[in-house]
Amino acid sequence: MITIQFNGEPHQLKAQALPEVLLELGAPQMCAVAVNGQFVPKNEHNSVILQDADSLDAFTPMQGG
Amino acid sequence: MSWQLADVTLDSRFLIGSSLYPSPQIMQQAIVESSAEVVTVSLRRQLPTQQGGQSFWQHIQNLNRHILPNTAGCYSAKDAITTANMAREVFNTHWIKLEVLGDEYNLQPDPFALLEATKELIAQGFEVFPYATDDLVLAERLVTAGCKIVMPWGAPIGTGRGLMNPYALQILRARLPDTTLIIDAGLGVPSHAAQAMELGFDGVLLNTAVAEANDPVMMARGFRDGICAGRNGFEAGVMQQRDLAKPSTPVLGTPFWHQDKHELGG
Repeated sequence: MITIQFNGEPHQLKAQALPEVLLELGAPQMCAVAVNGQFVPKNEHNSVILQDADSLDAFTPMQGG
Repeated sequence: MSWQLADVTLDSRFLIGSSLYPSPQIMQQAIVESSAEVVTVSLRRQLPTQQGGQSFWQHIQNLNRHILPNTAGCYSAKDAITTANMAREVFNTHWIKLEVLGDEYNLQPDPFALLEATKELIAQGFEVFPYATDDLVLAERLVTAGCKIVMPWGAPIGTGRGLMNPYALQILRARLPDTTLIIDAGLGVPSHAAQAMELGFDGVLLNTAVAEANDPVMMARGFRDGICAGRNGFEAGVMQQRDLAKPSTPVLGTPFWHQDKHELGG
């Protein structure tokens, strides 16, 4: 098990590969992802393995002006 | 009459924001009533348990409008570039309303960071809609960097003060005749939008004035009509102002030609 910060809150995870982590967290399909503050494009998700204490952020559509 | 905004042809010259409405339903009705074909949106972190963003996005998708994502809240070129790339992936568009703020008090754009981010994003294939001040030199630099569109403020975001500096805006229009110029931010009432359009601006982008009206749907209609009225005025060609009065009714053959001039009314 590893513990990461997901959108600012601690989460314990079984998975470490980014696509599986997103599934485990129930992240919405339509989101952009940043690992440790760096944007990870969808075509690079498969190559990312999360480590303990990493931060993961998922950005989804929101109202804007 | 239709017009060209970047790579699309539009009928409406109204670009509208999707924020601050009392409910998603009222937002949807206001956007429909505005006739706007371009809607601005944003990206935010959200936990899966919070479904507000999904519901909002469903309402926007149902409207079938062109989406213009923004980089609101960014204070550095680096953050704005990252946000733009995320927005391109999520919304599947190369359009970006580029906001790089320099001052927390009046949300004034940082011209230096804005230009830096613009250059990088254009190199990455984005169509950049930069939110700028009314500074001519900045606008010229943005155009030189490759912007087809520049969006000067009328006044700081959310103030509703109207066009603070019509002189600067007139200069922008005169000096950048081939650039699409859109007034972005600071308008409060439909006559502000009409004034911007009378100056020859190509469009108006606003949010707060509609969303925070007592009746956002009616205000959306008001701005829609104000934008049309101002554009018609500009295209029709405005008369020259004069210092002295000139009668609009022919004076020859008036019924009271025999009276002294000082006895006649206006």
